[in-house]
Amino acid sequence: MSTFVTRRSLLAATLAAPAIGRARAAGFDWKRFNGTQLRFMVSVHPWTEWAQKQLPALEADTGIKLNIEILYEDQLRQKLPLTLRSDPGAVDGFFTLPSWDAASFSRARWYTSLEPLIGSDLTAPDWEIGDFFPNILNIHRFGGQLVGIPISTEVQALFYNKAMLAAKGVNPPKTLDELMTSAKALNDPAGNVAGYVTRGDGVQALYTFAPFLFAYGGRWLDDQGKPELTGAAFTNALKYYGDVLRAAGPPNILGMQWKTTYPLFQQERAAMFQDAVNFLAYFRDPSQSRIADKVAMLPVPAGPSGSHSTVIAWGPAIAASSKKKEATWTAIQWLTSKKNMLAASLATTLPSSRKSVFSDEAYVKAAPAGVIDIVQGQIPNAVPNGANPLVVQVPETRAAIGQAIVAALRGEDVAKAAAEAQKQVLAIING
Amino acid sequence: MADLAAAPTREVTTRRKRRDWTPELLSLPALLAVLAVMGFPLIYLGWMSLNRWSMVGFEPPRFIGVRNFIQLGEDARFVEALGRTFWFTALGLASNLPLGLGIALLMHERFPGRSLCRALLILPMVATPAAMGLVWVIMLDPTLGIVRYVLGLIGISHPPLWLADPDLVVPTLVAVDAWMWTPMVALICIAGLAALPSEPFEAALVDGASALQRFRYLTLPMMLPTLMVAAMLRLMDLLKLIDIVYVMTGGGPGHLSETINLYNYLAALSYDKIGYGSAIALVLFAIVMACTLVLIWLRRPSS
Repeated sequence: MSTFVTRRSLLAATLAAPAIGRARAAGFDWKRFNGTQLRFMVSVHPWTEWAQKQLPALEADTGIKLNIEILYEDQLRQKLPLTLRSDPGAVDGFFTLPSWDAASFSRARWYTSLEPLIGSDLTAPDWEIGDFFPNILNIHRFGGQLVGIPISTEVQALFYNKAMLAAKGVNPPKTLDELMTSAKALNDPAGNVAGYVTRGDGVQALYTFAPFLFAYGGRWLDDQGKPELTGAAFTNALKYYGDVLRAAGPPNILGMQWKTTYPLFQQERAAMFQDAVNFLAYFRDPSQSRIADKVAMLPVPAGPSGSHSTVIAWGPAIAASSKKKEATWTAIQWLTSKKNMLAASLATTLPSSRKSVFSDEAYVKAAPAGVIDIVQGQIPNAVPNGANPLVVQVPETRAAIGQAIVAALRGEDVAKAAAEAQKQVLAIING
Repeated sequence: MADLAAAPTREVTTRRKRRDWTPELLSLPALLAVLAVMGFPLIYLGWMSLNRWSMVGFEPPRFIGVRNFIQLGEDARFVEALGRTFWFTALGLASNLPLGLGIALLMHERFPGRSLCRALLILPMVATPAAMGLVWVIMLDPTLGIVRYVLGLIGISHPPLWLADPDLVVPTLVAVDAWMWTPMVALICIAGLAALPSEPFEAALVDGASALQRFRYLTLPMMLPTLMVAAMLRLMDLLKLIDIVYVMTGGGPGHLSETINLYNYLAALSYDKIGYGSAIALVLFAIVMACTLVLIWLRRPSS
């Protein structure tokens, strides 16, 4: 990368200086890579579907012909590594979710550091990296390098049914203690209504458990990258998660994945629900929801160490093996420009990663009520990629830690479960 | 005379000596094809199982001998999944075979609407297991499911938690599997029953044997070979069970419904431990092979 920058800056300083001066004067030269063909491999996502529709406009503005291959997430996770490894140069750009990919892709050296490109004359002056929320950019920063451009902001929220809380005179809970009390007050097994529901499946529950871990001041890994699961924070969070869901969760909480939790809230069989903010769309849609006009959101509850949501974001990255990195950056830059990010957020209703989108009048008007406050309010304290430990072996580690969560949900000894999880994760990391 | 007699004998012996390889030669292409299609993957699997090969670390395969197999013995999750798979299989066979035979006996009788019943019988079998698994997840949901509603109608207000109950999850999955595959056993048995000779039954009737006696001393022994075939097919399927478990519980709660095949899938393709996954696959292959051979051996005397 550094050779590239030197070459580029050398070029700028000597031969091409007058030309670049001209380009700057007349605005940024988007057509510099006119005629280049690029191939991106991405996952199914509202943003990539939006991006696919912009390809003609991209070609008109930049002259770059971009082919996007859209795969289901599971397929992408198998095909992308195989392609990157066996056919270097075949893929120029790809979609990455750092909480899942960053550790392994970095180890395999598949990312291109984006900062040298952003700092060079290859980047339009009005693209402005400072417009991205710093903590959202952190999601795509790994090992000191920016590896991708986050295209949205996915935080969690505590959803509640306003009518159900009002009927029982319960105030919306802001802390762990209040959540416990409210959940118990709202729980009505005879009426087939749970006070509070979130994920209970061993593998999936890490995501919804994480805010509790952070609320108690814990973290998944220490500074050396070793698991930190034996401390008081992890065991307290485990105990709380088990206690609140056993006291006020649905009877079949064990094994519940998001596809079984959200319908309970949607059908008024649960008074409170915690998961990604994106679920709001399911609740606001009157054709499938009984709570379209009753749903409200709060930040994830605060513990002794405050309220910390997880925050994750997909984003495009440049393959280190690409022979057309500069053109790839031009395409990514075009797709993530202020104008296009606003268009994407308006089209997909996904909360943006750019500050300017949140203050745009059109978006403020179009965004579902409450979303802007919940997202913007939680960004500064959210834990980038907090959804799981940032290790190379994410799925196996998730399964190991999930066992401790299942133990807590079964009312077993949390200290023992935590010690076992620590042992297993250590073994997995050490291979 | 002596010469005449000796000539054909000599001819026979030379013909015997010069073995005719034509049949072998003719079947060689097919044999090679089978070897290539079945043998190569197995040999390659064996080779992979002797390597440490992680897709996730993006390291090249490294030969480690039988270390993967030693690790299997120490892997509690594997050992538990192994025992659980046998439990699945035992419960599955114990439910499928009697039920299948029972349904076949019913369908063997003449009654109005028999053809319709037979057609309905195969419906669960032709549906996609993954889709049916999801349908059952929705039906069994303890809060929103129709099973809860129906049980409520007959006065059961606290129905079991089915898939969320650590003790019930395996039997529940077996029940769904039985719902899907008992019809196949029934179809095999219907064919078997149709092929039975009628004379022994007529003789038994004349001798005044009761229905139970006719079943015990005629139908059951005569149906044993058919049942063995059904058992063998179901045994192989049950030992390799993955689809409905993956869809309905993902192996949960915890790992309490994880089968060998599911663990195999997760280890190889989700945890990206190709070598370790190959070792599990090889063990599973050996188990299925061994169980099938035992059944074939059991079948031999009766046939």
